[in-house]
Amino acid sequence: MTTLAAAQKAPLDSRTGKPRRPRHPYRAALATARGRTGLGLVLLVVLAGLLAPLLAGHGPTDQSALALAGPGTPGHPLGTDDLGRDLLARLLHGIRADLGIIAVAVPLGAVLGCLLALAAACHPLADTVVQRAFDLVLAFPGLILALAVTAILGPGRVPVILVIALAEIPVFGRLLRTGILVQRGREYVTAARVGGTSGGRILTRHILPNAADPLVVQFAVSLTVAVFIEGAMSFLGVGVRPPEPTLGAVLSQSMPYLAQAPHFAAGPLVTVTALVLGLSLTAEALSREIRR
Amino acid sequence: MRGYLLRRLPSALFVLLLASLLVFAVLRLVPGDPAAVLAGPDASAEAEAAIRASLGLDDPLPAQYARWIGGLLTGDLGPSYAIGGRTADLIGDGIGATVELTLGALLFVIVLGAAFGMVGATSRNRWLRGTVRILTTGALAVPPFVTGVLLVLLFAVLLGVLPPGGRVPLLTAPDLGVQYLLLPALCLALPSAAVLGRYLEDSIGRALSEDYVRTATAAGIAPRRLLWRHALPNALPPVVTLLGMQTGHLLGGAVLVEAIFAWPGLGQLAEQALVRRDYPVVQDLLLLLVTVFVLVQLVTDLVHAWLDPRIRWE
Amino acid sequence: MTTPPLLEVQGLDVEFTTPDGGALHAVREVSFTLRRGETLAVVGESGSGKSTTALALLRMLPGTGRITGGAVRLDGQDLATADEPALRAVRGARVGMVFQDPMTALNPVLTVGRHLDEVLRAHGGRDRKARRTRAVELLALVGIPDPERRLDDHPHQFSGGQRQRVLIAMALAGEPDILLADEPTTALDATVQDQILTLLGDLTRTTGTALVLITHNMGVVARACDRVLVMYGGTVVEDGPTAEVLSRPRHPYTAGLLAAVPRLSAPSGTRLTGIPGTPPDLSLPLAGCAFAARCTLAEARCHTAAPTLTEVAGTGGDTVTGTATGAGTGTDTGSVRAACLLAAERTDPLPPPPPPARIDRPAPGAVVLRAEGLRKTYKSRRRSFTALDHVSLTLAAGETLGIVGESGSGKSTLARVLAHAHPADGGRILLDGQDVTRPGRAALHSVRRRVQMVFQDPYASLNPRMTVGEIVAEPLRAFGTVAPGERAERVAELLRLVGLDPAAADRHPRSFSGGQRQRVGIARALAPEPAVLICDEPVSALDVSVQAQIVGLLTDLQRDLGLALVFIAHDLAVVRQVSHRIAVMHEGRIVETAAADELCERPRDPYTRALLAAAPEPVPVRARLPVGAVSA
Repeated sequence: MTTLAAAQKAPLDSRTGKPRRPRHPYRAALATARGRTGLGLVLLVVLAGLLAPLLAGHGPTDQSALALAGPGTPGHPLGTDDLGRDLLARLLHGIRADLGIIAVAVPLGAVLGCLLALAAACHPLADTVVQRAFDLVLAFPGLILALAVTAILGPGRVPVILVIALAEIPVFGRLLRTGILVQRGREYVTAARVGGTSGGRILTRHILPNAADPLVVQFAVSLTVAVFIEGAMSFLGVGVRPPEPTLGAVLSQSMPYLAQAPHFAAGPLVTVTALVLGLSLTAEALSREIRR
Repeated sequence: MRGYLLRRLPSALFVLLLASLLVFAVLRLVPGDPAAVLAGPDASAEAEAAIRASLGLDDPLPAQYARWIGGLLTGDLGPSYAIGGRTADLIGDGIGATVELTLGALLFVIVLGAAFGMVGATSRNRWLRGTVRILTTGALAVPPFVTGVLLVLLFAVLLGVLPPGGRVPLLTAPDLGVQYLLLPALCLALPSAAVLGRYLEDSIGRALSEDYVRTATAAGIAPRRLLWRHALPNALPPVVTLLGMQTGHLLGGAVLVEAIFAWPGLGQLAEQALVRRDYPVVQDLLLLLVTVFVLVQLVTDLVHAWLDPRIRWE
Repeated sequence: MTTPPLLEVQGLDVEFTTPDGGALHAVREVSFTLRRGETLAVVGESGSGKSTTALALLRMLPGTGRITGGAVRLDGQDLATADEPALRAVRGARVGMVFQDPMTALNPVLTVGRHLDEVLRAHGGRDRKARRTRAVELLALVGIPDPERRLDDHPHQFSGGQRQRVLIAMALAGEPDILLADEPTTALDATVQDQILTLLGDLTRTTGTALVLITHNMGVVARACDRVLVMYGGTVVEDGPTAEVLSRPRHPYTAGLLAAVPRLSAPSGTRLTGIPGTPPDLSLPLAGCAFAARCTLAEARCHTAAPTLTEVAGTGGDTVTGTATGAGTGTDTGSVRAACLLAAERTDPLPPPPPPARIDRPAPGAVVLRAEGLRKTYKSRRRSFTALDHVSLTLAAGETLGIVGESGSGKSTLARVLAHAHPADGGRILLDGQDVTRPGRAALHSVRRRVQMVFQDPYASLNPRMTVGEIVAEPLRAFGTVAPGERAERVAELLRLVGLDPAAADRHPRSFSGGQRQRVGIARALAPEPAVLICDEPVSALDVSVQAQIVGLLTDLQRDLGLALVFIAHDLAVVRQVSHRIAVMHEGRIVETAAADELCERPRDPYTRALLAAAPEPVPVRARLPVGAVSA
């Protein structure tokens, strides 16, 4: 008879002496100072965008006679722009518009990229085709891709979404493809195969859960890239059509008045920075915890 | 080495071929008649027909493609319709400015990136490391259009020490040229410098924790020499590859930075051509930028192989 | 007449900070001395603190590690408190170090010549030409052929054994007084290990360098060192002349370890004796003897009073027969010291372990699995590599076929082809007389029900995202052998079968030790009730004491379930004990197949003979019996 080896006791927390329940790494990441700050910043901006119609008090395109009023003007806490529009309203609705764009574009790019990676994982021929397609898209760095797309479609919301999604497809696709290849070579996958587990189940239950971590981090990074692209396209005049406000659009309108009315640019500057900083901090917290 | 080049070259050429087909398709995908768009709303039917003929839009597509590529290879890019003048001249005017901006930014990227990376990986001074950490986080978190605005606000509007925009060619007046170049190049370089710095820090950190560094430490080799002669040669090859990717981002970013600083380069030309719907110019520009990017990546791959004997001998 | 010791370690304590801020006391009160020219082995299982001790000597502790107490005196200079420049003057010049993994210990972008040049330069070699000449000499010294030309080659152009030679050359470049080798042969094949140990022995003898050899392998200890230090749970439990300690261990742990080591001389069908339990958790304070919890002789006081390392009565230098040649023969070299309260009072050695028990197993039945002329070739861009070259074998019900070979011999490929993890390029596989070489989807499914596999690496072969229960239930789900409602019950049954608490089902693999994980792997393989179990190096990643437990489990399961086993390993001694028949693989071919005892005692193929000769035995060199003689 073999001895009945008792399973090792759960590791004890050296300080409390209680059994330590291993926390999910994502939750642990978001509980760090870095993760909390990041998430807090993001939530703040998102909340502002969601509540825009309630908080704004003015329509984002309502003009008044008061042009370039300074901050603290009654009824216009952040002042007004060159056309007398309320800057707070434009900022909040700008956030809303930005969130609307990136919340569609990034998941779209991520899903398409992952689907292509899955297709590539199925057959060597598909892999070659998908790889070349990724190479092709990656040959158009960021804004040059934006130029190409707007050359065809003209400016507007849809081209912005398309550019962001298109730029993210190869990023997610390559990441997942590498992840699948690495995990597929792991011994536990061979073990599952020998254990009779079907190909589909091996992919969904074994490979994908283990390949997902870098994708989560990339998602946060891609959201920041999306904010960048939207802003840059507005700046270049190929983004969302005026008068609809976006963060980039408001900022680019403020440019000519930088010297005489710097408050015009302040709102979107701070917001964009806060949003992107929050997202990068979150991404960094996640990647640190995952790498441990 | 030559074998590596011969293996790597076909895929680069293949990507270029695909990219050229894609760019070629741009003009043909525009809704409506491109000739009508180019001629403008008030043009006569004859003017439209003339444009159509000069673009060869009535020819079969393969013939049009061959003509376009032939023109690119011989430098005959045809006339620009909306902007005026010859496309080759327009590109010739802008290319110097863009090359100057990109190279200036690249210099910043290398210098700042190396500084950030080395400090992050090796400095024992916590304050210095913290400062660099904040700088790189900032450079990554603030989009270039925001950085640009802030730089202009600070140096041009508040301090008044540097011009807010425009360009004086570096070769004609170096002292003045540098003043004009400084802000746009810095603005363009910051995000890439931060990325490079972080990556270098990570790469050196990883190399320093490798077994071979432990071997060298046990052999009594001094830390400074460990860093420069043992860890760095291993940390650099992937950084070079990243630098190649970042050069592509600089090319793309130049379009934006040129708009902020009124820098008369290819980006400005592209923006103008886009707004005025001058499709032939857009096409030629797109292909030019993509070609440069693909070539830069090819070169960095070769440098990577040259730096890493394991690839060199494969 | 006692010469002062070259190296004197006194009460060395090393701590690490755990991620949650606690302290892990990895090395506790370690003391020993080393004389000029002496060869000392430090032996222990994983977590015993042997490697940490070695790194602490040169103050090269990784991460949060730090010396919290004690002294390391090299000719009177305390290295534990020395400053960095002083340490650098010691590292490489007075103490040379060789590490475990020759594949990662050399810098891939530097040539071998540069490696040596760097060391020579660091220790005062000013003239570039002279350094190069010396580098050539060093390469020649460690037996690299054509050293002049090889100097400009990069590490990836050398084999594993050659890289280890280069590392030894680097360690010797500064003409040190001490060579510190941390598991220098663990990553190498037995025949290469044998060459490296011979080289180390020759070099230390000719140059008068003292050698400290860190190892987990008792055979290496016997082969290479005059004196041995046995470590357990961060402490030294026994210290004495190799011949004395190996033949008459005083500490129960040493005795247990020696009993657990498979011996080439033990005949087929004998049982290995493992040490029950697991090593102590070093992050907890330790009261009493570290080994008390696993010790069969422990008394109540062993759990409360910490034993000190004291000389054992009756082991004075004059009574020792095995004091080795060339070692410093100071008066205390010959005595044995043990950290055991009971040993200190006992004058006789521990009773010898009971003679190995025979396993009561039925004779093999009819042939279940037959392979004929299997071929498998891996193709990469440039070259193709023949992993299997016309391999034929048979396996009967209730039989264990051992397959032995070195790395690259094709034994793992054979396992994968037999288990249908990889397809064969040619040849036939017959299961119960039916050709299953290229089964269709349905046929493959039924083949897999009959043929299961246990993997080498218990860490890599379990999905980290699944609980143990889910992992064991995967085959049950896949083959539909058990109704979904009864799965949990069957999983519990399987876990009990492999000696695990059924409560383990809810936990993830990461909370188990290597041996426990391997039990989970075995439970998974048993889930579909297979007739054939292919075990690919199932114990090579485990410590000896755990290895004995797992081998015992496999043989018990075979007896109870009538399994046919293919047992693959690189260690001939283990294979002999568990196998009915042994096949020796070399370069993709089976060079010899015979009954286990027959093959070990009367090998016919020269390669088999080379393997047998290279196998390190945990027996003092002098006392070694001719291969094949059964020791009682």
